[in-house]
Amino acid sequence: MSSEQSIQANALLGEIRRQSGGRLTVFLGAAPGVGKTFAMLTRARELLRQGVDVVAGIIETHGRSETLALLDGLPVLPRKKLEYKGRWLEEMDLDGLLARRPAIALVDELAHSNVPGSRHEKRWQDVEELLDAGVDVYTTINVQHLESLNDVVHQITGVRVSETVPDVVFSRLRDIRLVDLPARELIERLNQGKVYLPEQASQALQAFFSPSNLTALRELAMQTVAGHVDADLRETRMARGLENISIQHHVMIAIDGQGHSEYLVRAGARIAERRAASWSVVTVETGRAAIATLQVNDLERAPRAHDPAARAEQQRLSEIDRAFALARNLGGETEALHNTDVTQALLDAAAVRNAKTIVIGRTRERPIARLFNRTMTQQLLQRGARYELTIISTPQMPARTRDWPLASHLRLPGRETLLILVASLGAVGIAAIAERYLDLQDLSLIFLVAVMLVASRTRMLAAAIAAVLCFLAYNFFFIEPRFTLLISAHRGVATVLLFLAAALIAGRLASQLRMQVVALSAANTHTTLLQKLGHGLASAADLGQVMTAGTAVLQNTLSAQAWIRIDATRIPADLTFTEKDLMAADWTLQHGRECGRYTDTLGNCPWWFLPLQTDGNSFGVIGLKFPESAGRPTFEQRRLAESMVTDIGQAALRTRLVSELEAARVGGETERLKVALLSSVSHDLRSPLSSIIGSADSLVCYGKDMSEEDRQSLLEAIRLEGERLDRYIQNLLDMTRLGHEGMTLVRDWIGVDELVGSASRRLQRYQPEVRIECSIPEDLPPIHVHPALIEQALFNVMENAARFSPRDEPVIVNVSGEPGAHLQIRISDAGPGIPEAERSRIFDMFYSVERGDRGTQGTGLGLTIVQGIIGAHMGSVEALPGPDGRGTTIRLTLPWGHFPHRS
Amino acid sequence: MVPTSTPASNDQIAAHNVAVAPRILIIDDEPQIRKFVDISLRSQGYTTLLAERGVDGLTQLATKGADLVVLDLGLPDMDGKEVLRELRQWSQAPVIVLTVRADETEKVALLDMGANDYVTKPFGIGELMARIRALLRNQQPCRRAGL
Repeated sequence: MSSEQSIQANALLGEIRRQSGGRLTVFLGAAPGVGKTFAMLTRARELLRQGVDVVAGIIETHGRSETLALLDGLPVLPRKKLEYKGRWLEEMDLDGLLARRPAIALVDELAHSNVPGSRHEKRWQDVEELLDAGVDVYTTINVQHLESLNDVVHQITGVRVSETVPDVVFSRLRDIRLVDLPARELIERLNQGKVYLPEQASQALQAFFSPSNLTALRELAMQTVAGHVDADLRETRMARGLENISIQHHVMIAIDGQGHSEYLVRAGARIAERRAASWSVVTVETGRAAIATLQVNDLERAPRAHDPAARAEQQRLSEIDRAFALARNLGGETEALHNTDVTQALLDAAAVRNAKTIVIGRTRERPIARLFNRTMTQQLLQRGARYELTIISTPQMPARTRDWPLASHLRLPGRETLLILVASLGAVGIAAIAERYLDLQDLSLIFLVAVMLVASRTRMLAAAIAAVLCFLAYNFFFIEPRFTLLISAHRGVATVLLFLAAALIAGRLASQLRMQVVALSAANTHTTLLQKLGHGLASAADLGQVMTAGTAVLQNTLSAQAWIRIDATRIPADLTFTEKDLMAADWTLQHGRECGRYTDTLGNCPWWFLPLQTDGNSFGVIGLKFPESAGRPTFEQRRLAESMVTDIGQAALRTRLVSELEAARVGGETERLKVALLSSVSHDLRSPLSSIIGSADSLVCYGKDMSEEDRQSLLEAIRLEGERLDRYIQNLLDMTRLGHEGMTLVRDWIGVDELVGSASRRLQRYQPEVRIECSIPEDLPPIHVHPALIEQALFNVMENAARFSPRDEPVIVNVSGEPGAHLQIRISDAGPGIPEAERSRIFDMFYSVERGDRGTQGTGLGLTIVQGIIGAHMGSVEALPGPDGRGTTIRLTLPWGHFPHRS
Repeated sequence: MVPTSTPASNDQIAAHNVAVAPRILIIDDEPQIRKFVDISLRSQGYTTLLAERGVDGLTQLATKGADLVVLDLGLPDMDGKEVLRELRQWSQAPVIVLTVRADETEKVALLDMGANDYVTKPFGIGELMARIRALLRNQQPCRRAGL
């Protein structure tokens, strides 16, 4: 097959790439301090002793004495000194190393970022160049620096690692070695001061080194190594054209629901657990189940206890359901396969799962089958030689399962008996008429058609009975001597026997075909309905939508009333329940088991309650109420309902997790905000405080030496700065309101000129020297906003503009806007302007914080608050270059709100 | 000449010698801080030069000269550190830096860049005055010595 060839080609290509040029050996660790460098150096010394040309390109000892000791005797390349911003920094001398061309270069810390001005930005690029030059490289890296794991690590530790190494570097991998240290030991090392942490990060790293983080990272590292080794092996084997062998074990447990399925699941799960393998449970539906269900359908109106076959089939199915539920609880996957050939179905499923072991129970089969090598066990062994077959003998073989197939199979439902009689009598009638025109041999064809008719509508047993019946009728009515079962001519005997054989074979084929069709269509309906549910659920973004979509699909497909309750949410909310019904629902939630109608518990409740579960913990309840007129739901319907409930549960859980993650993320963001706010507050409060304290202090210390005018001026300054402080505090309060409670807007219609005028007047009160030039169109309609907040936003922007404008330049306020579209207010200053790269960041709370001293006057939170306020009004704020490219323009865009009807 | 014999408690430095009252350049964008430092200095007999922006400050220092510079780090037009670096290329006038940050790396960086001393905001005027006196005590008047 071409795709197979291309896979092989790809594998070969990878192999070739790894063989040409140098190769990479990675020492992978879960965290700093586990001893990667130590391990690498130990290995290097060993190689050196064996006469290999090893050179240490760069080793970061972090001042650890044990590591330092290992460097003794190793050839170490002198580091290159680079000047950066007036400081001398050391880097690996890549050119020196390339010139030296050792067999193996040791390059510590693959994720390191080089000093700006080096050839490559990152050390891994240096390593790639070394590899290209044919130098083998030994390097170290922590698992959190792998690009592909960045998100996972962020989730585990909450730390976003910025120095990452793309996974493609590992395509040159020769060997990956895990340097492992249990979390507790690492923390101990840390506490003993054996692990040196760079001072700039020590705080963050302390949090990073929590036992849970370390354990998770350690596991991640192990998985990574295992994954690489597995992929490596697979690639090597495939490159040589060998079939992919399964290294990661998988155990597949096959059950048939004949009395020991749950036992098999437990036993199989234990086997899988011992081998640390994943596992799954499968069963094969041959179509017999579906036929039994159809019969149940027919019998629904009759007392069903009289049909042991159907009842046994139901028992079998419910046993499979229980076993599947158990398997899911134990952490296995489950699947019902649809195929008439059980052996083939199992082998296909095993191949898909990459299973190594198939667990089956001891099959009870007819001695005849055993004689002809036709038992399932024998077939599995013959056709699936590469699998390990584990046959578990079950403790007890319930006698009931032995006797039902015989006793109950022989019992024919009325419909089948009728069909057999009608077909046989019809065949006799037609044959009687046709006898005049046809040969005796040809008459047998009419009976054959009758048998096939029965076979195609019923099952094998009825077909066989019809065949025998037709054989007798044929013999009795048409073969000489007539009206006896005797046969006079030799040819007659042959005809009759051939007919019997043909009828039996044709009957078997026809009934098999029918079984297949029924099985397929049953599987198909099931799948289609589940798919429909899946579509409905996939588009649901939150828990409420999942619940709504779930109830809708349940109601449509099962034509039953559906109700979902998760936590306090109920959908549909307006359904009323009796106290008893609610008790039943609570029971289901508490016990995680079905109850109500069609179950053993609280069976008189009109509702059927099913639990929504995860890992055995129920978190919700689904109630289903089938209309009284529809009678009992069929077994297939119940299975469908159960599958759907499981799916809805999964979807609900997914949305729940998403919202929990979101909450956690928001929590983290809030924390970040808090810290930033704190530093920003201290920053913003300090400026006016400095002035106030300084002025007051000046008055106290030197007041007597000052002129009256100076004293007055200082007092004035104290008052002004006090007012400024008050404004900051107001801003701060606004900020907390914006950030936490969510701002409740009290909208009102107000003229834009009024807003701008109010803000300018306020600004001029504090800074009388500021000139403000406004241009507002005459005929602007009023705008629907929270007036006080918008005024505050305008004030903040204008104050900011005034601060950066040269004294003699005015602050320009330009209002424009089409009614019905958006209102735009541009506030421009003639200040130094903002570099383009920083423009979008000035609204960021962290911007002013990061700028530190530069923002002494407290750009602080002002613009962040503006953004919050405008955002709450569904508007936007942008920083643009000022008019004529000078200074800055802040543009506020606001929707008008619902436009008032004006005459 | 700055009177080196002035008692530490003396608030009237320049009373003895008004003619050579030290001239101090204040570069700070905060009008209120500029104001109280200015008033306090003047009340003690110093003469002052005021600048709101870095460029303005450098220009005044270059054209008029000063015996000491009080430099605020947060300026709207250029970073205080840039002013300091620029200034140190041609002037030996002692510089006291006003900063809101007080971590050690910052202090070290400032001193290495040529600041003679620093005061952390908010500060008492007494401290600033004492530091100014201390610096001037060890300094030859460099205003006339061509910066």
